[in-house]
Amino acid sequence: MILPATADTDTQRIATGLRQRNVALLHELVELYQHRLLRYLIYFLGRRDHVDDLIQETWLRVIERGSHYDGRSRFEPWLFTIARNLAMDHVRKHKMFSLASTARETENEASPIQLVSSASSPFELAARTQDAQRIAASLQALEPACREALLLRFQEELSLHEIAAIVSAPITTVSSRIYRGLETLRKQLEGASHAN
Amino acid sequence: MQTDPHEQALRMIDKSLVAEISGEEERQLSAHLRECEACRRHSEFSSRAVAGLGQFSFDVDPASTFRVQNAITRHVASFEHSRQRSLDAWWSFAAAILLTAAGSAVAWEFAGLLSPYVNFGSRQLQIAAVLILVTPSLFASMLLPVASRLSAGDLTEEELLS
Repeated sequence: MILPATADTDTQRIATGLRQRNVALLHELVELYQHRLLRYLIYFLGRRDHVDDLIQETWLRVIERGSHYDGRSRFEPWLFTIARNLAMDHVRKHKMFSLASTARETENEASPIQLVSSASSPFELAARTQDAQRIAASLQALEPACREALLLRFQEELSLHEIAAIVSAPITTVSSRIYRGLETLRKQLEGASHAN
Repeated sequence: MQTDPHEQALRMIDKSLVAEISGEEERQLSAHLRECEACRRHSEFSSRAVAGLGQFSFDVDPASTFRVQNAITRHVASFEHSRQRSLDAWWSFAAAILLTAAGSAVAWEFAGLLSPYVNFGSRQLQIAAVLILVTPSLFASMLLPVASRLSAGDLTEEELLS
């Protein structure tokens, strides 16, 4: 993706600051991206607990690997890749998984694994409109891979190519996940509309 | 076999949300939507689903942000401290090597001056002086960077011995 001139300057500034471990820049990045990281990890994990710890680990990993970011592409995909890898490690370590989603994925794809949780859905708690309330349950039940893809495409506005790099899957797979997720949410809204 | 325009429109609706569609595809879709209520509903609910994703409010705890920033400050300070220790250890090593080299030269000359008074050849005495007096010094100075990493916890004894 070719970045516009101002974005190019910003990413270069971030890359330089990370290489120098500039604390002021890091604090600024935390302020800018805290909410987006929080939202991404909630979408990925389907739960709220442990997310704050994962956010902190993500930033510490950013400091350790800052020299790996060259500033030639956007910062968000690089940041979300780090967060995703930590979240995957967290899930494996805590052994909270179900195999329901793996049947539709190929062997080589790194698909996230659904957490089993009896805690309240973070989506139901966070819904602010009627439509959001209607799709909250569907979001919670959705395959994490589809949920993640929906967020990255429609909320983070990343390109399919960027999303594919983050999730280590082909673009066709990413598209398929988005379409499946969209279909699920659309059916939920249509059903609710018919019921009314 | 002709593609069903209705099926094509449904695919195009989602494609227009997920990725870009061409100008021609957009024109075809718009024309179809003007005439097909079912597809208009499909488009409406798809758009509402996408919009619905943005209607969740996940509140960031300001205390959490503060904790993260503090952790970052400590982590960076720890890196700097470690880097400084490493630098100090390498400077000490360089100084030790220089002193060892200077000591070697002094020991060599001194042994040369001493050789007439002892029953050893000049060259033999000089080599012996360097080996006995300077070798431990050289060895100790080479250990300085390693000792620094050991004390900082950057290197375990197992890694050292392997």
